[in-house]
Amino acid sequence: MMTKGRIRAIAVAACVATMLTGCSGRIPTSSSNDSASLINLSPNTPAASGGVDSATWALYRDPTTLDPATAFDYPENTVIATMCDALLRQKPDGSIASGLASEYRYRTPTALALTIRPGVTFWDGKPLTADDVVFSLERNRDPKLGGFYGKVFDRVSTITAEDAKTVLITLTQPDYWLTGELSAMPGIVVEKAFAQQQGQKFGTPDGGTMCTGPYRLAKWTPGESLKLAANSAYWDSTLTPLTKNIAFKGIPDAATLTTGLTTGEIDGSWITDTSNLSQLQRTSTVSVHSGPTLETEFLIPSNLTGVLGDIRVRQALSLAFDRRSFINAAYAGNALEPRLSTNPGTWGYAKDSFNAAWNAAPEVTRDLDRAKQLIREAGATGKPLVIGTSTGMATVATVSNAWLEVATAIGLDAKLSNVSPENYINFFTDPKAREGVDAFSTTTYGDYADPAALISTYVLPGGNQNYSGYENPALTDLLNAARAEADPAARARDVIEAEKLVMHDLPWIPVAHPTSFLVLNNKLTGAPTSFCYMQSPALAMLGARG
Amino acid sequence: MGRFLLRRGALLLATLWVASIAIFGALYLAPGDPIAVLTGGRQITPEARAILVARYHLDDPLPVRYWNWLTSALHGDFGYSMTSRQDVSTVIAQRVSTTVELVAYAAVIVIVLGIGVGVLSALKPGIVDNIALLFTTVLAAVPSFVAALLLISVFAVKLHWLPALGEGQGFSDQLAHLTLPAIALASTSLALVARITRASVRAESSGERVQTAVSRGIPPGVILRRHVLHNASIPIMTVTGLTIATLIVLVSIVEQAFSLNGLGATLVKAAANKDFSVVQAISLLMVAAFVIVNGIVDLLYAVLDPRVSLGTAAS
Repeated sequence: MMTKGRIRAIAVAACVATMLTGCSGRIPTSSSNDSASLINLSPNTPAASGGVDSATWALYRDPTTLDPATAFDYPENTVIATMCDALLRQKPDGSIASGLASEYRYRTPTALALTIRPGVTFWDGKPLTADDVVFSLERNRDPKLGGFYGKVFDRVSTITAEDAKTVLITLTQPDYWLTGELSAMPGIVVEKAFAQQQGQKFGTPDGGTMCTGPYRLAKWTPGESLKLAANSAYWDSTLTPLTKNIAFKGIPDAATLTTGLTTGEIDGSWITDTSNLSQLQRTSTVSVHSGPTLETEFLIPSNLTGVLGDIRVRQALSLAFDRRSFINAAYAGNALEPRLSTNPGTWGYAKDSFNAAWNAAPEVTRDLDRAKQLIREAGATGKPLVIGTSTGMATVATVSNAWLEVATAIGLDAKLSNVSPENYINFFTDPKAREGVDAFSTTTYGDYADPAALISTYVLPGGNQNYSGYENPALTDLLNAARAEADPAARARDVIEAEKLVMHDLPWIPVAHPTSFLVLNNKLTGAPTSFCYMQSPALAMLGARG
Repeated sequence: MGRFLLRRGALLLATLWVASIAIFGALYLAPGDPIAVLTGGRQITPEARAILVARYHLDDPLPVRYWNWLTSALHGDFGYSMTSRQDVSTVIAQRVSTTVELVAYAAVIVIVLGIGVGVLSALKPGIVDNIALLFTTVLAAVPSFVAALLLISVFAVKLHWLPALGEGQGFSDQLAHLTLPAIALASTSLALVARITRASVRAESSGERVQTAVSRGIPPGVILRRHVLHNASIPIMTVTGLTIATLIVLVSIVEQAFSLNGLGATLVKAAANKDFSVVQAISLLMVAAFVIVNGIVDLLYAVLDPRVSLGTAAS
């Protein structure tokens, strides 16, 4: 449920790239620009034929911590997920399988029992125990650690080691979302003795970490690289690491990253900045793969006391936005126009039901006349709308300008409110910063493949991304019913009903469901294309291309 | 000499003190919330926020924070970096060599090529001079970030001669990795030094003393060394010294363009993240380097020309 405004520079704003290989005026659109093929993307690349000695993998910036309790953004998640195992595991297709818990079972709707996988050791050779599991889960709930995942345990009453190989989580109310969270950062297990010994240094460059994953931490030189070495004693034979050494490097600048990928100094990356996407697609030494992801780009109405308090105004804005042009410009065509509010990549269960609901939902067609009519009906013509933006962030500036144009076209008195890139983040954290604006943009995602994982953060009262105080009792009831529903098919029915309400109410206005983007040197293959890289050690599959 | 060094030392300390207040104050007033950076924009509970605020003393008033910083700094403790979660001294120690090597490499290029091209251009009017003029005009007009992009595009992406990213390991690998950055960093200064050298050598060559020496039949090589270059050396030295000092400032841009793990790139990142102690320490280090380079130039004046008294040069 963690999110962050993703800094994604848009292609039109990035002709700096001209210096490298020339920027064509027209941005080529993907040949696979139809919805069915974007829904059914392969989560994998072809399997590797053998091992390689080393690979350099780029992140959009340096990781700042290896502590899973405080990890929520791309760099930290990618690195921790490669080194550490969670109790449950997210598979590339979004389904959830066993992880360090070889079995998990709800004994009653309020008692979840986890069986600790036998024979698993940490990198230092110490065996994994139920004690380590209890310790790691409790860290999330310890307010003194300042961790970010306390809220996902809000229905947890106790976490206890029943015996040496069983951990029992008792709940105050049924919670079938908890297994999803246990397959993500909150479910990562670290060695108790090591973490206690390191104290405040745990997770820092001085303290490091101790996990059970396919790679161990070799050397972390902040600013330069974070080096991992293969763990030859890894318990999972299906994920035996193929690449012996992986060096993660933080490269904030898209042009620099493109250069590194082109020259082969960088071997691969799951890129979040799509500004050089079309250039990378034309580069002969790398291949660009699209995969399923949990991410969606939104306009967030943060003030419902102004003009956006009227559903008709939100609907009018959504109707008037030219998503197709935006998707072609920003994602080279590799994104879906949202018929539902969450990305098809979030369909980790009951896929057929979600797919049917998607197909049954009305297509997103731009209708300016209907939008203008809605504004007139709402009596909103000429009323003010302030959109928060940052001209220092190309991606945010471009989409905000598009919204400005749309709002003006339908008759609102729209303005932009500009803040520095450093202050843009305050819209997400500081109610005072939000006072002056009605809406702002972001790209965000849930922790696991369930549409409810993201929706619940911004529509439930008290949700950690519910900036506007939005509340719809019917929607709250549906999500609470889904959370308490053991049967995935029945849960999907609740979530689909919730999706319909979200698409009608538009508490957030979805703009696009992009694919994930994996860029790989042509000598390599095996890494998954899907967003599972954020939570599972899938990079272990990276190896030589035959 | 002793007095000169004493005076310079006092000047350095005073400059550092004033700079430390200015940097600390500016950073305090600048927009951005360090907690937002720490939490990446995630909403955290008031308790978690309070813990972070207390851990990094973010609630103390400015004078108290400055005083705490100053007293620790005087004990050799430059604080803790909030974003890299390391002691500032470690952060600096890991990066200082890259920056020093890069600046030194660029300085060598500026001195050897700049003075070389300038002398050649002054002594060989005509085609050589014209080519040198064109070359230095273009270089002077290209800012280092553009130079960086051009160099990467041609020598790394197209020709695959030299690497584009990182600092490399071992001497020859490091030299290869730092070559393009050093050229990008040196280009503008190189042009300036070449221009000044050309003008000074020209002026000295047409001076009376040189004409006299030529008429006395002294060999041209000796004239060049003893009369022309020696007399032209003071303006050349001044400009070279100043431009090398500016390299210290420009290094941030070049380090970022080549993804080098140096002090400059770290300073920019730390400033964006409001990582007070890192900004403070690196800025002061750069100010100190700037003052010291200028001091060395002053010292060299006296060596080159005994008429220059150190006492006055220092004021």
